[in-house]
Amino acid sequence: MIQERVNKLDIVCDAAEFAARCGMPIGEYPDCFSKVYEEVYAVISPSYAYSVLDVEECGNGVKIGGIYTESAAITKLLRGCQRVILLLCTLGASVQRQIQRQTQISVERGFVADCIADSFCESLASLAQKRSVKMEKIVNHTGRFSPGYADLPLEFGRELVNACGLGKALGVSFTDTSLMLPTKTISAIIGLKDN
Amino acid sequence: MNILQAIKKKRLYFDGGTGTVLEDRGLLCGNPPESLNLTNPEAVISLHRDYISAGANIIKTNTFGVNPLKYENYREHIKSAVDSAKSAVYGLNSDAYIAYDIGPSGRMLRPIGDFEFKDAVSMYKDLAFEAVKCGVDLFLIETMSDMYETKAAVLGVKEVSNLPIFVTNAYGDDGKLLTGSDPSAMVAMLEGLGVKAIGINCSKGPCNMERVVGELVECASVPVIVNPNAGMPCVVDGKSKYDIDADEFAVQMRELAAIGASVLGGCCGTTPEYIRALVNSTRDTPYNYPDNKNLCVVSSYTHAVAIGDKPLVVGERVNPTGKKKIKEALITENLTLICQEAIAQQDSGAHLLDINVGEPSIDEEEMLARVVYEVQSICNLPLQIDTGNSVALENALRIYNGKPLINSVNGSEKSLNSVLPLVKKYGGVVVALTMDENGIPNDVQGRVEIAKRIYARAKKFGLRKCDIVFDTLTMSIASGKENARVTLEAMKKIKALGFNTTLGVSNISFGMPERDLINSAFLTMALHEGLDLAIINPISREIMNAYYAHGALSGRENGGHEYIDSRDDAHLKKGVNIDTGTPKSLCALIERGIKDDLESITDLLIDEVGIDRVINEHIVVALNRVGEEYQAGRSYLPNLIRSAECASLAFGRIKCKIGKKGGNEGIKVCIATVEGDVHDIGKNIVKLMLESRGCNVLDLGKNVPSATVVARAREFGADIISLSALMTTTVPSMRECIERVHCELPGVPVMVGGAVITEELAKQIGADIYARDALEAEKKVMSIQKR
Repeated sequence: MIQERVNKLDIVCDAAEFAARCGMPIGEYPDCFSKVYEEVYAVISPSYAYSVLDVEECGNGVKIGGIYTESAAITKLLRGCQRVILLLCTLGASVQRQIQRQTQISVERGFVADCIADSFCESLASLAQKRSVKMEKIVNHTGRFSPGYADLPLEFGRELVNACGLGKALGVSFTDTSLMLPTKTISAIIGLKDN
Repeated sequence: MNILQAIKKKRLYFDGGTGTVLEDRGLLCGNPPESLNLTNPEAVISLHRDYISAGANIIKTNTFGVNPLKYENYREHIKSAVDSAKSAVYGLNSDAYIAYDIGPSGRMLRPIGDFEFKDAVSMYKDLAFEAVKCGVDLFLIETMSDMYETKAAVLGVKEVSNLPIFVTNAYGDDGKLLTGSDPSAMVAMLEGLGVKAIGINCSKGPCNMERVVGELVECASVPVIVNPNAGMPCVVDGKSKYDIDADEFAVQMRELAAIGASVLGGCCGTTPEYIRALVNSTRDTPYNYPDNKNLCVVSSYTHAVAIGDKPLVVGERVNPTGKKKIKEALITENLTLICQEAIAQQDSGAHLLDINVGEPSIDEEEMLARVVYEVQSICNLPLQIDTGNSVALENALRIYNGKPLINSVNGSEKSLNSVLPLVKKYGGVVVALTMDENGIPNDVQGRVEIAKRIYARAKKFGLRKCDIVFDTLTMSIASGKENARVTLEAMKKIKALGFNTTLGVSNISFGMPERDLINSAFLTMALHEGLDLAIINPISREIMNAYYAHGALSGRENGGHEYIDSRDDAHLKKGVNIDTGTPKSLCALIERGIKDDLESITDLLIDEVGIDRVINEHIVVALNRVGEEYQAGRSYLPNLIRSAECASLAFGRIKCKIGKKGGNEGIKVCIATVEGDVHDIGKNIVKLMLESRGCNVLDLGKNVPSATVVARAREFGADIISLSALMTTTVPSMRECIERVHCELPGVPVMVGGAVITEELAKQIGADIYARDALEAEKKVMSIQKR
């Protein structure tokens, strides 16, 4: 398992990501944006961890790190891959409190804070993906695919993350319904092709 | 000799890593170390023997991961692990101490997570009970990365055992716990709870711990424990290896011992070889039991605040006395308004916040803890828990995350007997009022004598001077011209005895005109006499101007800078209106999402044209226009939300007027995010849209069990229940809730929505109404009939 704490200067609140979440045109921002951004940025604590796992096709599904799933979507994505990177990224617990705080000030600020945090989280996942793939010296790889997408169940993500100890390393835990806490956390599978 | 006696005389050594060593003794890769308790206890015994032989005099039981959440047969694990430790200790005829090892539960506590604090306390209490039955010498609570969970574990242990408790936490690279607590906050809370040694373990090697160890040594009055990893991990041939060898480990640990670390040991990656090298290298390093720092400190879950270094502001506004809005908010359980007051006071410069919910029509015993919890979930200032009800006090102290200020105890027997034991049990700095059964003495000496009496009694509970702050009681000058003088002179005399002081400044002007003028002057006088905690309204510019000006004039460190910074803020908040053609019609204000003056304009309009016309010709018209703009893509969700917030404010004024005259309420909606789902942004937007249309909304929050939804909706008399879920995994909870509502509340329709809910899915799970988004939810609710 590799773990890294990320300098927050290395991640961004991308305009397009923010716009997509907020429902506004790219480049337009609500009036409260600057103030909320400042307060959210002050508390983000980005970090990520990853493990490299073997993958093998098995019957109708696929085994990742020895754990089986019948998900057609991930099976198709990983066809031709020998290994995967299992990635876990989080902005930390303080940002979740900050979103709650902003919500208490106003629903608009809470909503905007949530969108800003989501954008940062996506940026972190992209950065973590780039760095992990580089560390593993991989040239060919798939895009990120997260538990919860298509027919890949959240429970599968929970099993994988727990088996690798990634959650423990970053302080991420799961609810009974396999949601990750803190909420601004992303888990993802990236298929690696050795050729 | 028990461990507390031993630790006063000499340095003690913990053992080292468990998993790393057991992997070489039969532990299969990927299996937790505690699995060997039942399958191969001999391996565990031999591990303990090797550590004792290496020089460790505290052995941790192999129970780090054992708890009821992970193991049904946790009692068997505990018995076996303690027996193994005893077997090793007695077998070698050693005087090593056996520490029952408690690790994190693996779940995150609310408000960040979904594990209830009281359930965590119960769980740890259960573990401790079993451990005490089996016979251990002390408890070690280790590797916790959350202050709240640490408190839950300490309380759980304390409630079944008087054995010493040691605590080590896992600090991150930023020198804080995962949930934001710094070492000073941890020390404040843990010392308050009576923990006997505090420290750091895991995460990194010794040389990376220097900063945190230094901070701990500086503020702790108890021994500091350091149990690092053997450096940083890497995987070699499928096994974890660490990058520092035993000799290098020992060298680095010697440096930590030299800066004051008292109890030394190891964590992941360390072996008996490491402990042997450690013991040998630090044998001759001087050992001194730490001095009592006598710090008067309170903390929140992030940081500690020292009382006595400089005067501090305690925000007084969360108090229903004389504040109609706060009283109403508490009665209607509108904790959002309470939280907004807390945030506003923090933003205005308060260092601590007073929380008082004392009001005859409120269940204080329940409400105080709730408000403390809610405020702490959005504000990281230390809190002053302010109540005369000892049950309410205990409920709040129990769930408080940190070390609070406790207001108050006084010189009456009843108060001394009920409050001081709680201060001792839960930790805190207590505000002591210089009054007793006979009331408040009119003279200076009378108040000083009561103070001495309170301190004498507090000492019997083991409290020190630094655990008490005296309030010599501010009485209005309207009722006695000497009142200010007596209060300040008494305060000065008590300060000379070595105590810190506090005053409820605003009381001085009760019954007088232009209260802020008098309050400011009295504050300055009190600060000049050495007042440490000023309970004031930080939102009053006049009062805060006096505070900052005194800071600059008194020559205290940073006083000048704080004053200058406050001038920048004051200029911004002056409310200088630049004429942007700000509309003054209610309709325009709502459309443009402008809150300034909205409430006063609504009041004027209601008086002018009546409530019905305000609603139909202004609020509804504005919202309809905003909705059309949004649907046409000419405005966006934040604009919609903002306008809805403005409309809500307007409705708030209408409700005030209706409240006075009586009248029909809007449609009653009970709204919740279903059990298992922790997302609430969408629900919050729907709630806001409904309130903006005059609906009476009861928000049950997130992760709400269906039984609670039904019970609360019944009690509330809901006309409709609205459920939201963001994830597919929580749709079954939604179905279950709908079934329960249909069975137990027939006739009450259920509306569903959320990112994963489609019209088809809504039908499948039996929902009565489906809403695609917040705007549609609003339309559909408005079309139903009131019951």
